[in-house]
Amino acid sequence: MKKTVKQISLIVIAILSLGFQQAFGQAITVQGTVIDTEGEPLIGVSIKVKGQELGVATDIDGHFTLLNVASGSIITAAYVGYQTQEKTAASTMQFVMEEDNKLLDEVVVVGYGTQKKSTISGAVSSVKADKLPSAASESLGTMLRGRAAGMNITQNSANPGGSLNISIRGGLSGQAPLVVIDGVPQVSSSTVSTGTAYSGGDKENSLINLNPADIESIDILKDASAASIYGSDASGGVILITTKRGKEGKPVVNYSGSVALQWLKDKPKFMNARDFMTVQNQVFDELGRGNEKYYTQRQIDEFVGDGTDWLDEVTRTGVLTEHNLSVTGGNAATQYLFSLGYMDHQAIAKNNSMNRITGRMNLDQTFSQVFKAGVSSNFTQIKYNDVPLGDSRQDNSALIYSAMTFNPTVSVYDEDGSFAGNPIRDIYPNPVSLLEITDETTSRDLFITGYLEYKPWKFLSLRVNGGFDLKDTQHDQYIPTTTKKGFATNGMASKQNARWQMNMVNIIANYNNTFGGIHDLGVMAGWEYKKQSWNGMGIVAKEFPTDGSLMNNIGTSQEENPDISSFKGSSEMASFIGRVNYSLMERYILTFNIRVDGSSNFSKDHQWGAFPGVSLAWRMKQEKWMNSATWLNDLKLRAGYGQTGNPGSLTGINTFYKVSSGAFAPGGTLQNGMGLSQLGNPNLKWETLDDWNIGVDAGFFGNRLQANIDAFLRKRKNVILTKSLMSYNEIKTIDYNSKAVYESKGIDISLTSYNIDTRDFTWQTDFNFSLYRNRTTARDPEFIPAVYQGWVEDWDNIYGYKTNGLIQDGQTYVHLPKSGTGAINYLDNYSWVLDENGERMRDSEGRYLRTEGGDGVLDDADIVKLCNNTPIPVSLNNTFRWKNWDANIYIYGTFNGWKINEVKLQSVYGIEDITYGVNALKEVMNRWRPDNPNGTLPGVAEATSGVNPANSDFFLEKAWYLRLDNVSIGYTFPTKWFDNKIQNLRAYVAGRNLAVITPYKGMDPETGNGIGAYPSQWSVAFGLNLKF
Amino acid sequence: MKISQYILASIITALGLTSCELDRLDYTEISEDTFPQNENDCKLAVNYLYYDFNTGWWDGVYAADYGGYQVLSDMTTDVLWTCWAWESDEMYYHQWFATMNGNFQNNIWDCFSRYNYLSKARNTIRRIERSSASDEAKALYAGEAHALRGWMALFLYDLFGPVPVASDEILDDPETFYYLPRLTDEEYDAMMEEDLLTAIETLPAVPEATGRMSKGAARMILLKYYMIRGLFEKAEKVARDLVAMEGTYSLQSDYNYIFSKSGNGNNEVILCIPSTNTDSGYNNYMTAEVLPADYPWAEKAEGWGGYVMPWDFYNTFEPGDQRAENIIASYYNKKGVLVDSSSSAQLAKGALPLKYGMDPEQTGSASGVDVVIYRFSDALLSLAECVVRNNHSVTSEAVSLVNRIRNRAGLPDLDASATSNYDSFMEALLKERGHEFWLEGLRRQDLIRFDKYIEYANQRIENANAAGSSYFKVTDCQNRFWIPQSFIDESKSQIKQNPGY
Repeated sequence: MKKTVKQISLIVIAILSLGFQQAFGQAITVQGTVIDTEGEPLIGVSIKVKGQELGVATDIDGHFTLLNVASGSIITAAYVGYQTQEKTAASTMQFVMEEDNKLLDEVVVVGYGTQKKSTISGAVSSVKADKLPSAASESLGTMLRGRAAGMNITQNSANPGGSLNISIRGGLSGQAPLVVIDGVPQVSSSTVSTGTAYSGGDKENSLINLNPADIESIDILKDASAASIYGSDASGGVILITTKRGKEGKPVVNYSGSVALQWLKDKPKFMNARDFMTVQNQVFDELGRGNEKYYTQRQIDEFVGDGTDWLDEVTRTGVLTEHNLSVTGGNAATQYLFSLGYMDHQAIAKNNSMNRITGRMNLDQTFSQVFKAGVSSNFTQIKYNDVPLGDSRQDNSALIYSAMTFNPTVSVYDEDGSFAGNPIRDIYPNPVSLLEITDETTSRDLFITGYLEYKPWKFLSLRVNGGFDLKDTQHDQYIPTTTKKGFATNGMASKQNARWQMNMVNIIANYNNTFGGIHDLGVMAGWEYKKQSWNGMGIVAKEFPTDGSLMNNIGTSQEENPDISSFKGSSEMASFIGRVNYSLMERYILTFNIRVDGSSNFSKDHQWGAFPGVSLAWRMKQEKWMNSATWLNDLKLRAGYGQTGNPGSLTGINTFYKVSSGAFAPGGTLQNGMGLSQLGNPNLKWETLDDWNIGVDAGFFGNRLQANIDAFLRKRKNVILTKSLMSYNEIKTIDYNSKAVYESKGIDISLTSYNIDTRDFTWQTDFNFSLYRNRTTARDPEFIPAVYQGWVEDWDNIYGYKTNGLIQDGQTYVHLPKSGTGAINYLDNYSWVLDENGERMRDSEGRYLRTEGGDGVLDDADIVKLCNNTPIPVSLNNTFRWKNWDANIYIYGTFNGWKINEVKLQSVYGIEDITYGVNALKEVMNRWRPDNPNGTLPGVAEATSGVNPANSDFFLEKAWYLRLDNVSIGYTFPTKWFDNKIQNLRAYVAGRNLAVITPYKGMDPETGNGIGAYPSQWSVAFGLNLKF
Repeated sequence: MKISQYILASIITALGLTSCELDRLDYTEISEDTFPQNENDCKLAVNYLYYDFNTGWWDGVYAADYGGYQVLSDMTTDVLWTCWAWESDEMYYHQWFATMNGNFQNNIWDCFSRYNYLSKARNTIRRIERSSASDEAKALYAGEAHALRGWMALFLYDLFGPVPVASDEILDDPETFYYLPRLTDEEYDAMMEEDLLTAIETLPAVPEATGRMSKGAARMILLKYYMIRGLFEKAEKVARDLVAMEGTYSLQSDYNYIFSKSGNGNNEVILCIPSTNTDSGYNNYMTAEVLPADYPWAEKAEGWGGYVMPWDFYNTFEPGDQRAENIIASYYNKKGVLVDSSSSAQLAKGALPLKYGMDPEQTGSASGVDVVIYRFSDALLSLAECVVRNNHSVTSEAVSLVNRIRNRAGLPDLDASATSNYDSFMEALLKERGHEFWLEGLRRQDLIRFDKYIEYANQRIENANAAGSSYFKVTDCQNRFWIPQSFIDESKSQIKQNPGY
């Protein structure tokens, strides 16, 4: 049916064009075919004579006929998804169309406007959200790991919603990136701390509030020539998130959903009950306390089974489910998107879950020729049920650490049904008892933005944007009397809440015009005002008559002085914004940004700062002399400079007092005190970050291979630091603008290759790679470097003592007076250089001098640089499509990393703790003993050495890694199977985090931080995408 | 067209807005313009000065762990030890030196770093004087601050000798680096007298609540300082003033009542750290440090089972001495099983010095029995000591003072042999003080004053070495601790290290 309409219209057009063509004299008839690179004919290709309005379209066999074409005219062939071609008219012609599968002319969001990708002159990376596998992921943040060269995202902890570290270009600024959603910056918020005995770990509070299915694209302004449009907020880089919007057309209903099962991935091996009892007896002997042995050999021999595997007791198979439903559509005047999202994660620790509901409505309405308005609104609610997490030891042990180390010889419950304690030293919480703690967090985020656009002429628009982001968190905790802490306090309840709000309004004028066909000019000018505010309150109370009402009837507390607190504050920023884009023949491109910011974080004299950015681009390939290089499809050189700032969250301008609650308890009743808390420095100014960037974008072999390479140099100056005053002062520190200069140099490389690109089979590879080094290049004049420290110093150096295995019998160790054989042999390699008075001598930089050769004392003189821990982020993405099948393999990681193996480190203390009935790593069985001199772990003597093994290379391990983050296979069902009632149906199965290649022997090299780290998980997910 | 006019108008308004100043608000910050003004502000400011003397885990002068003053003072002597090896052996056997590593080094660093308290207290005094509170209130609260400053100055002198003290001019210029030497002893004397004599003059005999500074507490601090300095004539005068306060203070008839929950606020105590049994930084953890986990005690009490009184010292108590009643040599545990030195690692090292009585409401490790700092019995014994030292002979006044203390403990008067000459009296007095003040943190200075601190330490070292240890012998320099190197470096070597380190 469609085809007939098209054919009729072709005939009509052909007849009409006949009429026009007759006006010319010498005319020919052009006949031709259009095929693709595979030789298949293309239907519906638009064929025109250049400079004329009308043309024809090819028929089903790819044929076309143009009548009365003036000889010498240029014929163009254009087809969506293919590169437009031009040829001089001939009576028989053939066009071979090349697919334009390349991203060169996408629109990129650059802040207060968009630009064509081809005319971008700064360093901007773009990620399309629909390319990111979403199954078994909670947060857009974790999905973005490794996806853009120059943006390094790592997850600090594997618990649900665990916090992320996002650093753009080495994180030199020390600032988190600014996240701007549909033009409005997200308010920064933090995890509400409980103020009580246990906490559920830091959470990610930013990207997690978004439903990944709502996201259209993520654009990252990496260099300051681009980011300076966000001025003082932008020194950490800017992440611009654009949500999907409605399109003109009939309503489209989209559903996507998945279910993932998760299993524990890294589980350190701890001793079973019998091994534990044997080792405990050995340790008593080794400590010379053989008379304190707790178990007889007979008890050990007769012990049945392996004892309790506490990690098994507190973990389970996790389930992560997500369902997303959206409707888009609209007519010429109104376009809409409605979406609902649901995500539920029953995590691998029992009673640990996260649940998110999102709702979005995006609406655009054209009122008249000149007026247009729109609204984007999003509501998110996240509920967490947390379990106690963290690295505390002994009586404060949290769930995971406790499960790793609790006595394996006891069962979960005593005969009377209460939680069993450690029979040797009953201060440690039973791990399963910790699951009885109620710890609920509900955070809500309402994010609404709107705009009104007035466009009186085609070249001028005025736009008012306004919006707010309101985050609200309620944290409730109750520690029941069935736990040790709860027993001691008769139950402990906590209710804390906090609200953060960002209000923003701006007015932006945009002027765009083309002069003489070759001069493109865009001018943007605007004004913006932002206000952030925060407030909250909390109460912690103990002494409850019953556990029954949890924290929900806190008035029943019989405590005399429950902790109460509240806070409130706000800050303001006003800004002027401007940008000029100029391009000549779409070949020579200039962009100039400026932002003038005023921030209330600084004193009246220093409130205003200006942040310029300028960049140039030269699209070399557009030059005539490059035409001959047919293998090269695109080549653009870019160079830019910009400045961003940082007013900090530092609030160091004021001198103020703070309440010290319960400072003193005269007569046994706590009273508050009030003391000087901070010495203000009214001279504080902005930090500035200067940034130079050069880059090249190139496309080769019909854009089958695309490369974006950027090199950068950044310098952070006027760094706001806290300096020590003389230690006799009441307040011993003050904030100041340091003379230190931090510098970052590096390159970001991203490659995309269409390795195979046929109709039936495609294989695309994306490769991202960054290499950078941060360093301190200048210091305050009064800075005195430590003996092992350079005046110019790389960041992420790890310093410490060198070691040489363990002290063996017969070895001397005078420099370790508290050690013994079997302890770590820290090396005393250096000694101080002393003058004739025996005082240490200094070099010209004030550093103490040292010389090789030990002096019998292990001290700072013996500390050396052990390694550098700067990551080298890398990622490799492979996407395959064969007919209706698709597959993806995604790997990310870092080529460099070092880490203290904390689980092993802990076993050094664990050896002593074993005598108290605390379990330790199975490897402890291979510790040094007189009869096991080749043991890999130190013997009991290390526990009293007085040296922290973390300050040495003994437990330092290489921790580079490559994570097989996603492996998925999908099948798209042919729509005819469903009688065309369904536009698209795809089913897939995905494996997440299936393997980690790393030399690191501890827990996960990315998320396994600390001794009680939440274990990482691997998952298998099944999912469905459906479109009506 | 009208709407575009609105937009233009709003742009102009917006531009106008930015000429306003941008404001930042934080209600948790209290401006120096508004504080301290009235009497209550002065009280809050002084309350804050008490904070440093809390008993909290890591940061209080009277913490019950190794960094706390009383533990540091007693564990480097013959009265206190633990069954946890670690740093307690370094303390008990005096195995310390200026370049050592570890927690003991950190604890000494923390102690010295408190010398800025003298600046903080001085600034607080000046703020109180500048406030618009009544003269009466100013005198009271400034007096408290003077006494607190003297207390911390005593603590510092006790451990290190004189420390650097910044003048008012220097305090008003905090951003300039002045490199201050330590005061001389005479300068330190003048500072102590200025603070404490002011406090003695202005403070009431009975404070508003237990734990607050009083006339008697200020006298006690000054007395302690004079005794460390060896200024026994001045000390005698202060001690007499204190003893003359009998009535305000009195000797309790039952020694153990002083340290019991019901005895909180008893008037033998001149200065204490008032305690609560909720986790607050004001708790008596001394019980938990001693209490074995299986010891029958308050239902919800938690014990860490560490501190002991070494058997050698325990065995010096005379039979019938009521002061040893709460030092436990063996006990029946919660399961009714007898625990003694053969079955407990803790009792193997010594008896359990459960000085403080049971707080039935103790939950966890925090007990609400006040931590005793100074007592009237110390005033009596100190007067006896000063009198004898100043006369260089045993007076009947001194003997009767000592006998008061002995009789109260259920013991007979001193033997004639003990009162026969100066040396034997002093020996008996030191022993008496040991039995009277165990676990109260007075032992270290007592031994130093009687020149026994190093002698006793070397005896312990010899005994341990005979049993196979290899501890080094120590010298008189250990009567003071070392000054941490970082403070010497910071002062550009204006601060001189204590001799011998």
